[in-house]
Amino acid sequence: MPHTKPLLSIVTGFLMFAMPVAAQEVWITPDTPFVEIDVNNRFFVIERSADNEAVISAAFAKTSRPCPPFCVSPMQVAEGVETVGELELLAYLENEVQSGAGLLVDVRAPEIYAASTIPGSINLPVNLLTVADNNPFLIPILMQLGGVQLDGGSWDFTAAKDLALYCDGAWCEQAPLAVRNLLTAGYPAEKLYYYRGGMQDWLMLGLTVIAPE
Amino acid sequence: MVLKYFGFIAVLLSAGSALAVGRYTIDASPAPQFTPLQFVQNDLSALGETELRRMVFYAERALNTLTEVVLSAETQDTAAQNKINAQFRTAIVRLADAGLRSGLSSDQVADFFTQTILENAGQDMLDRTRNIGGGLDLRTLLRNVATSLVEPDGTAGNKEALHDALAAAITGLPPEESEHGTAVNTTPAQLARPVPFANATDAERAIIDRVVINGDQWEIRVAQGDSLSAIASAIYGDTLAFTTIFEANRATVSNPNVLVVDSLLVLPQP
Repeated sequence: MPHTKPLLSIVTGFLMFAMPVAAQEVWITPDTPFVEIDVNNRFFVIERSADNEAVISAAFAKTSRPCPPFCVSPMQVAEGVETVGELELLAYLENEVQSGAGLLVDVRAPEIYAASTIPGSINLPVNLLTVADNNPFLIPILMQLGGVQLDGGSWDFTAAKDLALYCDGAWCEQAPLAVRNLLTAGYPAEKLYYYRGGMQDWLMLGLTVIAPE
Repeated sequence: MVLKYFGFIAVLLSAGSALAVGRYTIDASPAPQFTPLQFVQNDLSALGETELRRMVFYAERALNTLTEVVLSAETQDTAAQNKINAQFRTAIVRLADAGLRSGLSSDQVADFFTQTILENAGQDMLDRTRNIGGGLDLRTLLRNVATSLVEPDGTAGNKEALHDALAAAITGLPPEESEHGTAVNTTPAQLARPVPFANATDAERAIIDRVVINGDQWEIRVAQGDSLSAIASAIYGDTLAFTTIFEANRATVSNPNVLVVDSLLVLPQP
């Protein structure tokens, strides 16, 4: 859909012009009123809340959870792993996730994920990615992600999917931990992306969240 | 997918009064009368699954806002009505736009929405839309909006066509200022002017006298010597309320201490 964005911009741009009494529109960027994605047979529109008075929900307003474990993450969580913001994540959803070349991974606990998350994401709780002999899930997961286990136990990740990982925000440890675990398992750093802002920054910008089915 | 979708509709139709379900149910609905599904003849088979999901998404969103428009129209809360009506217009344009991007004709878009309403909310919802003000003809609305979007190249002609389509079709909704400066509907209720505070100074009364009513909001044209705090003091009785004015005009005022003479400020109602 290469023509989608300009067309939508014109349509929505006209809306702003024609409706002076309406609240100020809230676009994602001056050129992007919203983003449409279709992932795993579900259609989503990611946009920002149109309510100019909206504020972040109380659950994400807390500033001072105890550290450890809720400590501030560095901008670069590991060498070679790119840190992304919201626009890069949206482009990743449109290009990588929609085509199946990449996955957006919420590494928080399943019940937290089920309550509210970023559209188009999957849930892969960080404790399933622990690199330890007593974690029976790691090998099947790596295979699901496209890794091929070679004779002798080493891995070929040439065909593995790109992964963009996030958790609650810059103060949560699950996503950095998941990145480190995957690197330890041999996942290539250039296939990993870290969305440092996480749910808190996503919600702070009024972006769409869903309760996955 | 398409066949499944129509199968779903058939099941719902056979279910009769169970049609008005879930969040779309509105109280005291009479027994629904179903219109024949003339749109079954529409060839939607050309739609890909993604396109169909997109149409369903925007049609359901438009129905959600329509439901609120209908409920809101039965109250006296004009502020809430304006808000939801604006959301409904946006939803309708997005639906029409999605249909055209999928290669549907404007008739097909209109039928698709009618079908969505019947499927999820029943004939009663269609009937109720006809009771809003002068009557809301959804088919005409969708067809006109979609038609005016056919060549979305942003030319003035298309903009006017889209605006006129929206304005003409939603006759029951509160008026908007058209882009060529004429009010398109009759005004149902005139917004009251701001009232001076008892201890207002002459300067403050002079400011209040300059407030003009535009649609559902107060506006004032900046004159030499004006300041946000002076205007705030006159309108809200509190110089610190300049932040309210500043916030409402962030699109045009970048610094609250610098106003442009002859520019127009929106004054939120207290």
